[in-house]
Amino acid sequence: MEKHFLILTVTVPLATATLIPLLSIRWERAGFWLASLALLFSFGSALILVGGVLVDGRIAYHVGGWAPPWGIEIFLDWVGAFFLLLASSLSLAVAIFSRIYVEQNLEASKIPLFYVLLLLLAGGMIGFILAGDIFNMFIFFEIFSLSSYALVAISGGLESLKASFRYLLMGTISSLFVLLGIGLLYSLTGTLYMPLLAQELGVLPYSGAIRAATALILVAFGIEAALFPLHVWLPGAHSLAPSPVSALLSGLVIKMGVYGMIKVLFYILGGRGSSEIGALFSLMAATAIIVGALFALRENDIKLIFAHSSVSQIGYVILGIYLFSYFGLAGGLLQVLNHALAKSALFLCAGVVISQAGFRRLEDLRGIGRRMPFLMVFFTIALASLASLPFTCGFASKYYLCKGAIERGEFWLAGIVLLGSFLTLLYCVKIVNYIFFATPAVGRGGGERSYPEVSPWMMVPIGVLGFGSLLVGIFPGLSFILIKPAVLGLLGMVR
Amino acid sequence: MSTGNFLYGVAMLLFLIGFYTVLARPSLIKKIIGINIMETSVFLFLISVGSRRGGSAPIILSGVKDYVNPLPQVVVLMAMVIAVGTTALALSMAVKIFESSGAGERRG
Repeated sequence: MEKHFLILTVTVPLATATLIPLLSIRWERAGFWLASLALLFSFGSALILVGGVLVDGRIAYHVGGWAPPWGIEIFLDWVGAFFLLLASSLSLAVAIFSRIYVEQNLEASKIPLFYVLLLLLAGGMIGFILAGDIFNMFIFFEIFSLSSYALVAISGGLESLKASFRYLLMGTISSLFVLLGIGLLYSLTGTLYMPLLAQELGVLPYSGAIRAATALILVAFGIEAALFPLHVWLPGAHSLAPSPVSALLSGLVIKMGVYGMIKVLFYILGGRGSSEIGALFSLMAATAIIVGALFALRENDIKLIFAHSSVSQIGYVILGIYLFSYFGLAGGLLQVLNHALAKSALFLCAGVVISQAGFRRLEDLRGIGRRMPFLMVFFTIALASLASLPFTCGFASKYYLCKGAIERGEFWLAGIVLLGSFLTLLYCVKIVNYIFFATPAVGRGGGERSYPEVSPWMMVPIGVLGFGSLLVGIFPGLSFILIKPAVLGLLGMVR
Repeated sequence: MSTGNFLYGVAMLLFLIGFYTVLARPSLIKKIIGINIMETSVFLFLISVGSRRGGSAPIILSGVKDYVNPLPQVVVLMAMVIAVGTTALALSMAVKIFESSGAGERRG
């Protein structure tokens, strides 16, 4: 029974997206309500599906009733369940947050289109997570990439258009690399279905063609995940997009690149060539951790700080994955969870500040903690989690990453993890210092600035994300219900 | 066999020409053209991977021995739809950029 939710959780957001422009003609708020309902449905079915995975371990659905070698299969296993839960809950939180934000910040004619794109983005990501063959992965990859390019540009300013165009160029190059890699894999095996592909590739020698296909696909997903030398599109796109969009892009979309890498490395290659790939990618990830944090330290615009910090934090995830060990992978997946919750909360808070108070430079934030106390408490919790203080989710993930690196004998990587955390702490402390301890900024009239009330539509999603990040930090066992079997499953695929 | 390799070579050459255009040309329109060249080269590659001399469409007929797997054609068809969408989005962004920067062809 529950396997039908597999297809519904993808199709309901995508189908609702097509209905919104039609219904918005008559009913002004159709966009928000339909989008929220569709994403609520996706979240609910994600919960049911995760329940199914807890019992069975793997649920599959054959589209049209045709079995895999000929038909299309979509499936969910432990790793997928982890990412699905994250994707559906974060998209729902962002959709609820957007209600007030887009009314204040976008033209009325663009609001329904915003929700259409949001649903396409969410549906595309969920489809990407569930896809059982590599070509459907590519299709859903394109669906969510195209909608994220459009979402970055939706405000229509010249700078955001330019950033979005740069993102589009990089993204299209990345998707063409994926397609070329898929073509190579098809020419070697004659199939696109992942388990069959893994089986066929397993008997072939590890030839140049397999290496080329792997390199193409991994570099392509590296662009999507904003791995260090390929990250140039990220700071512009993430900082100039509307804040709810930045939250989704930083929280989820870059993680999809990581998920794609996991699929290729474990589901298709079965850990083949892990030593040579791992050496290169962990070097890139280590550079990303340091360089991203240094850039974040230098910036003055809060959204740019968070964008550069995403480059640094995604480095941790990729580092963990390319350690190819239990602690490395567990640390990487925990870091996915930590960064998704914390960075989304931070971008949403930045959205509230920019939308309600109208500024984004660090100096203008002086003393804002006294004016918006509740908001800034959640902001600080998210910053603490980013800086991996104890009792936050970030601490557990960095601990596992260090343990994984030391276990492999790569002491310098453990050093990089610690140095990166220290640099992260530096820029977080800098922000907290401006918020709470600097003398309040003076408004135009000469008195202290006044700030309007924050709407509960904005507070509730931020609060949920902030509490979620605290909860997972205090009880890491909660996330390990999914992470532990996921990691063991991945390591079970290594041949 | 040699024709197959020839097509692969042409596809890779086109791919690199497109890639160079995207990276090196400052003009937005030329970048979009570069993307299109890359797309076409990947389609050529996929089609040549899927072709088979003397093969027939996968419909059972008397007297036909070799059938062609329709999968690459389907893949190319879907990828073409996506390519059209990407190009349309890129062109509309380029138009918006030209409008708001007030110039003809500008660096992106």
